[in-house]
Amino acid sequence: MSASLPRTSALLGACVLLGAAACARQPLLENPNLDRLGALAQEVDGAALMATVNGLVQDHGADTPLACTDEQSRLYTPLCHLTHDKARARIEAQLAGRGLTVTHQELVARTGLPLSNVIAELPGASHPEEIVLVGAHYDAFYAGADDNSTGVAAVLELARVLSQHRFDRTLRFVAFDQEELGGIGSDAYVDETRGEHLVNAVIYDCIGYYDTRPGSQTSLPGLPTPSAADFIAGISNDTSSQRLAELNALNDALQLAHLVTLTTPRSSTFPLGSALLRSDHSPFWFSGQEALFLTDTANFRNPHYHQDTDTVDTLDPARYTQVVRLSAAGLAYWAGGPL
Amino acid sequence: MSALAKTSGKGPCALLAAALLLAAPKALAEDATARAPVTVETPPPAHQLSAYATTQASFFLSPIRTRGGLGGGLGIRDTLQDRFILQADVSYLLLAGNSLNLRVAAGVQARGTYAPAVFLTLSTFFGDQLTFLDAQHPEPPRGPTVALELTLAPLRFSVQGMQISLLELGLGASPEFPGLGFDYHLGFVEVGVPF
Repeated sequence: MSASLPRTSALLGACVLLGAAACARQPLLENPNLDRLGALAQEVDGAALMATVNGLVQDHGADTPLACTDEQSRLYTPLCHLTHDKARARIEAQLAGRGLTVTHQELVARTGLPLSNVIAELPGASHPEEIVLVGAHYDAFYAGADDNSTGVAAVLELARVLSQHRFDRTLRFVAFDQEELGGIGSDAYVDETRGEHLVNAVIYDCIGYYDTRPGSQTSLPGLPTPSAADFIAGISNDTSSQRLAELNALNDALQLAHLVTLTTPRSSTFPLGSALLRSDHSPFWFSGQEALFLTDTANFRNPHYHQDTDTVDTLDPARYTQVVRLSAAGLAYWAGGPL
Repeated sequence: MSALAKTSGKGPCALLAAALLLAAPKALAEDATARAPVTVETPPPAHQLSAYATTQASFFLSPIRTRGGLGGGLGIRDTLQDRFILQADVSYLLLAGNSLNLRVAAGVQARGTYAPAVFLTLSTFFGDQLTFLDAQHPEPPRGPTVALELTLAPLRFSVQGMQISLLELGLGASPEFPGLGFDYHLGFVEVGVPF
């Protein structure tokens, strides 16, 4: 009896240790070099960012809208104010100017219109087959300052910053065409790149409009959304929820932006969730790939959404810059760097 | 007599009719008394089992998750001595994804045709949910939520053992470790059939 007591105690102790080990939470971030990620984030230049937004807005203003029919005009007037050509030329020039390899995915879309996604890459040093993507659509209604020159300018600024460093994985910068006609560019992109090892994608659509007044934010019923429209929404599906938690943890550590997260089940294919599918992240979700959607929530706060008043003066450069900085840290973390 | 006969103008027939009219209520009353069953207080059944179908809107809302929706389900009920109720039902809900709501309740009802009831319900949600992260919850919450709910059934009727309830209302709470989530229940129609 007395001899069995130490053995029982040892067994109990082992069980307690095993239980504690099972319950111990794994750290969200694996060996993050927060100092380097923070420094990298600060390389995002707010003035450069806004200069690019201004340039893109001028491009849209000077461009010739895509042809539209009387019926389209009657159904949804902005359809007759959709432009993309001049913005694409700027994107190509800026990406090429960073020394990145620029390619195009060109086809005739199901709309009957020629489609051109612009793709640039920074090859990974040790795992070039593993891809971290950042993308935004470059077609826009009217001037399209928030929707989506802010997103495109973020991609271009991140290309500028990140191309000055090396990463384990490949960083891919993508400007999608014809999002406003139903996510056609991103759909074609996902179709063509099926089978690649995509580690994560970050998709922007409208990331520059903020309002600190209480009551300025609206939402879907049942969601615990802040009253003031002073945050950036990070949206994931179940598959990419870990990436969203990682971005949230990075933001907590680096204190960059007011990030509000939402993870939606079943890639949001249910009645309440359709509003969460309205951008270029949805083809990634439907193909089972990880993607985060960053947005200021567009028409849930921005009265200029799809209006000719969606102009640069309505944007909040400071908050917008912080969102791009947070993205820089996240992309660098997922890409395994900077080395 | 002559005056009465003169007034009616019908003679003995009129008198017979008047007598019948006067006598009839008393006779009917006596007959009814004679045929009335003897009232015997029969005790209510110790157990009355019922199956029921329900339609409802149920949601669980907290700072870190939203789940539930509109739907319907089936349940089983044991009514004890026509007073106390034990019941359990499971419903499929659709709106914020696909979820199941398992409700186990104990309650008390008024006896009679109008049978309002009040329940203490354990309302458990399984399945899909929209989740949100905050400083206390850096990772998405997992697993079911179990709320303790007070449910009122003010428009509930019992007719020959069959129960019908309209517009049930429930409000419950559940810990989110830390924080609190709330469960909201609106029953539209519930119909129970004894077996």
